[in-house]
Amino acid sequence: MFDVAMVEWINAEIDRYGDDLPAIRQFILSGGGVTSANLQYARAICRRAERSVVPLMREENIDPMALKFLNRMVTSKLFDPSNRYDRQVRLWGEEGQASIGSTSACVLGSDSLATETLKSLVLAGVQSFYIVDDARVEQADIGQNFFLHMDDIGRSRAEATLEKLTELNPSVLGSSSCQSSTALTQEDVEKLATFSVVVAVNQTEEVDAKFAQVLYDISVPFVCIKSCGLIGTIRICIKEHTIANSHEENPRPDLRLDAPFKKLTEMIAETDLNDMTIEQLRHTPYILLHFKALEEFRKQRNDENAFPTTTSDRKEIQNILLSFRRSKEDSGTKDSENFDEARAAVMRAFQKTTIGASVKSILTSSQCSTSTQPFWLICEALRRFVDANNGLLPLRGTLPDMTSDSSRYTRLATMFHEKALADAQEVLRFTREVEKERGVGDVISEEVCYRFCKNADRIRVQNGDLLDYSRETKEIVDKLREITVDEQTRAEKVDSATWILLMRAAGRFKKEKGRFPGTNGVPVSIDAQDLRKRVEALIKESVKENEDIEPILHNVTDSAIAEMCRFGAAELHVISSYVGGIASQEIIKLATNQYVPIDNTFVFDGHTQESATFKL
Amino acid sequence: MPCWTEDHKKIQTTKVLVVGAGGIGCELLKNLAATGFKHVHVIDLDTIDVSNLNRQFLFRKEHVSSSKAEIATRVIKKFNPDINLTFDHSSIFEERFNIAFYRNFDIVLNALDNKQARNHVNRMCHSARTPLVESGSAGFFGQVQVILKGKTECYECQEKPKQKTFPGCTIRNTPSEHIHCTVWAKHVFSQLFGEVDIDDDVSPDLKAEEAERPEADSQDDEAVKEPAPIGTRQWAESVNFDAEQIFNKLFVQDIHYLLKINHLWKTRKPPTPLSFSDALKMGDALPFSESQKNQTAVWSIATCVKMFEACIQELRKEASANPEEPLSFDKDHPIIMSFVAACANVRAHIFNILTKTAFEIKAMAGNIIPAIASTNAIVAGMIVTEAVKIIEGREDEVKNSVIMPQPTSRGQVFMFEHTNKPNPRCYVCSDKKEVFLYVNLAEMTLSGLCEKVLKQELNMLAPDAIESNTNSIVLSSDGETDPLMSKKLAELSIMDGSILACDDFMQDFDVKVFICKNSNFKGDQFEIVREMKKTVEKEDDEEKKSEEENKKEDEDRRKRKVEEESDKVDDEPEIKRNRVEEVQAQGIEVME
Repeated sequence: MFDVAMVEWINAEIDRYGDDLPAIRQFILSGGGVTSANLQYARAICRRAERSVVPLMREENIDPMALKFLNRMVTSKLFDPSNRYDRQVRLWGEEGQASIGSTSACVLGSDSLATETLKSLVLAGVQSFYIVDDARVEQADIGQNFFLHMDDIGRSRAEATLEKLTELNPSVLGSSSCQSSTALTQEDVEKLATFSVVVAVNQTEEVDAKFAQVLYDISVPFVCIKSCGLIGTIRICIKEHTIANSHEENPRPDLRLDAPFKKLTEMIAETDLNDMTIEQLRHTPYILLHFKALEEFRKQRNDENAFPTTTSDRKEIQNILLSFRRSKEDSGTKDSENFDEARAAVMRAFQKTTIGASVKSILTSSQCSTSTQPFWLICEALRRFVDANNGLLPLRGTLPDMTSDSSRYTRLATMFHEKALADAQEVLRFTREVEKERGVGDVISEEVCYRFCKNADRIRVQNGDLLDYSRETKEIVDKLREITVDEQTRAEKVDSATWILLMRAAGRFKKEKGRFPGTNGVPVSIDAQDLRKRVEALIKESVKENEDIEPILHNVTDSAIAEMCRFGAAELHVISSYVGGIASQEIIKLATNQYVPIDNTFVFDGHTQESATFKL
Repeated sequence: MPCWTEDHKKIQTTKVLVVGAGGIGCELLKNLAATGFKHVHVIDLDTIDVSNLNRQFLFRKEHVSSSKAEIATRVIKKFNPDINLTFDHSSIFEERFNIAFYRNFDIVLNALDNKQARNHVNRMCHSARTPLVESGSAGFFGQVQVILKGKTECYECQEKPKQKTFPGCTIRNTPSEHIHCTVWAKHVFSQLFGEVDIDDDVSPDLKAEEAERPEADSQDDEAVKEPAPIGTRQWAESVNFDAEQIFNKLFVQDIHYLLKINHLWKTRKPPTPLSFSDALKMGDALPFSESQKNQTAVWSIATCVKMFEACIQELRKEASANPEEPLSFDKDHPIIMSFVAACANVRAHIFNILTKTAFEIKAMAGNIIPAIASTNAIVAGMIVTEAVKIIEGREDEVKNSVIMPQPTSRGQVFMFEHTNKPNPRCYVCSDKKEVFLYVNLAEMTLSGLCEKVLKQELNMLAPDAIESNTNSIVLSSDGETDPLMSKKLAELSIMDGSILACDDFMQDFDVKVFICKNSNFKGDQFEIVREMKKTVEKEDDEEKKSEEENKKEDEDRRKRKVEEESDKVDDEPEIKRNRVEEVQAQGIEVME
């Protein structure tokens, strides 16, 4: 007999071994050695036993604890089969969840902002995280970091935070180190670069720069987050980020009005509006009406390739559509929903099927012709597809909703779906070709290829430069130079560029004085003067020798400087909640290659709750 | 420069009511505690589910099926022993949460997941004059609205898009989309194991067809006889819940009945009956446990049949374990969900509709909207920011805000809208509390008026109604009028032009309902509008027109959203006030 204690015992054992495991930083390959092969075999046997117990339980009187015991043997910490992630998988799909599940994050720092960022990552189910911080928990942490209590004072902050965070999700592995981030050697940095993402929270510019260099070269994303009082900033540094699914809202429908595929052409040819009963006419899906209107448009112009390109052309199409309507004998009205829809959709639908600039630049990039990265392999296949198909991308294959009788709508929907599948098949064939040429195995699955093709018109690549604070300060100063606002606006609202410059000046203040402005009980007015000096220095370093810095400095108001000193480098929990939330969201976008992350700088101003993003 | 002074004394003495301890609620309680709030009360009716754990960070696996309010309180206090945090594991609609209760608080923060409760708290705060911060999230979207009596719009000032419903005959007779099959499958579940609702009948609806059947066709349809009006449950019991017999009744007999209504299939492709034994031959049947795990693959029809069979036996066992309490649909109950998925797919197959994965069906059946921790954390930050402004008396600075999934073309992640003035025609917060109710007076019953109009549509809890001309009591919440419930409105001397003064004592809410006649509505069908319709047509014409409309409605099920006319598709979206509600309108209800 199995009793509850046995299940508890095995749970405890799983936890015990799990705790001893170091952070997993790459995929686990079964069979990497005799031990691991044996373990994998044992797991398979347990799984088989579990499977045979399930039907037995239905038919025989079997101790239900047996199943629980077997289940826990196979589903240890690394396999959480529950529907814990159900609500988020609906956002980024199983493939997105798998990417998150194989993401390991190294976080430098363990303050409130770091904890808030990590909290959302741990809940989302990253594979592992590693906290590096030499700070000890102080009184000030208790007020700001929700997870720390009075008992934690004096402990390693990384350790204390780790303990609380790992409780949030048993399938995530966490570990920590009490090293000081400023004392990390080049070798340490290189070791940490094996994580799939590194996050620097409120680190000095020197630490940021050191990591940026190493990570940029190996294309590992690096995210710098900073907060001070009511201000928060995020800087995402990555050489190249590919986006397979941008989840763009409300994309233009892919109807191919200018380039119908064969089956669609056949259906258009057999459609004769004049031959229909009025009921049939009023239940004709608008895409067919569009094609018929286009036929008429071409007839009128005596040009069988004519296509509306201007707004007035499209108005003409709308008029043609109106002329197709017929009135009923009894009611006299010509109105019907399908024609209303057809007219409303003209502006969006009558667009040439072209390849957008960003997709074009992807297909012509050198990466496409050489890289062995999965994204680029499939892009090269896509390029070959486009070449072989008159410059057209694979069909998206989804038909917008339209008023119609069921049979014609179903026929159209099926036709679009099947054509999209066929296009994807062709891309897959090209992919296999490319894979062979570049000497990689079949890395792209059919499913991945199909999904990719569905979003092919919205793939994106973001390219970034190496993080270089002095270059960026120059750009910030350029932004300040361009600000033209009246005095009142200047007094009421501080520009996001000003905040970045002030954050940088405060960093320099700290570096030179060993403390942040507004701390140690020094009067704000004195620190404000010192901070202003640093602002001036930063501006001077960024302008040409003879340029008058006054007009630029004018945009850094006294009240903004005073506000920066008033913060005294304090963290506000609510600001951590905002900025940490956004940072973790961006890290998830980076990990899943879905949605478009911030490119590359984000500033949040808690005074007005306004946010700005721009590229530095 | 506006300045956040964080007046600590005020924050420490402010009494806060948090309604909801779910996704936003957990984050909000954390933010309140860490910001220094000391007096907080939280109310939540719900218990913890596994699917909550990806974001409701105060809860652990071992807390599953415990009270959210209780665990949240316990965990927050563990981290912040100083906070005076109390809870109620109860429904916000309970009588003890009356206006006096709301007056105990300086501010109310909503972290709710449904419109009904939001409407209710909105009214209670309006009556109690308590400031309210309202919130919602859906995936990467989030929004916060500040509601101050007399100064800003209330939650009900603008009409919210209604949740999509489908005509009964579409569900029962002529499904054309998978969602119709899914809704039907949910009804099959409740007919067999749940609380029986006459609105959820699953057999062919012949009555509905009679009305629209052209007379010339009646001969063709003579052979049609309605299936015996015996309850599905009763019948299932009579065959001892034999899966094969139930399957054949639903997918052979009933389909044959439908096929006999010839005119239904003149423009539609007719369904094909499918017997249990034939269905089993369609594809490989995965064993129960395998297919259970395989939520993202489309099950073969044979697998669906196996699933159908296994689930019926399981659910029957579960139902008979506690015969007093019928099962209720729960999207996170694996067996119930598998049953619905299997059943929906078989029906879809029969009606030539593409079948879907269990994962997709779950989203439709459960009105699931995606939810993640990070958005909720941001929204909770937004709520506290607005709350602090209100507490510090900076009411002119409050904002309604939205968080976007990605930056707009102007680089903003947050979008704002200064709060609007209250709508002078709002039936909740204005002086002109009026709505127009279009009904068929000869068919709508008093019970329909009470349950469907006043309670469901106007969100009253225990309505009273007086006919203003005669001063007669039409509806009384103390039960006096209960014997009249089945009477038609016309029988109670309610006529076109009657004005009903309706009142809810608990919400301290009253509204005048102007009765307008629409003889084309059937049964309890009705329409509520905020302004009287302008078109006054001759009655004959009107009738003809709506007859046509009804017909069209039935046939144009395809129509959902019309693409907006726009030349400039790349323009950034203007701030959309009811962003999240829009998502809601597309058939997804819950947010948190």
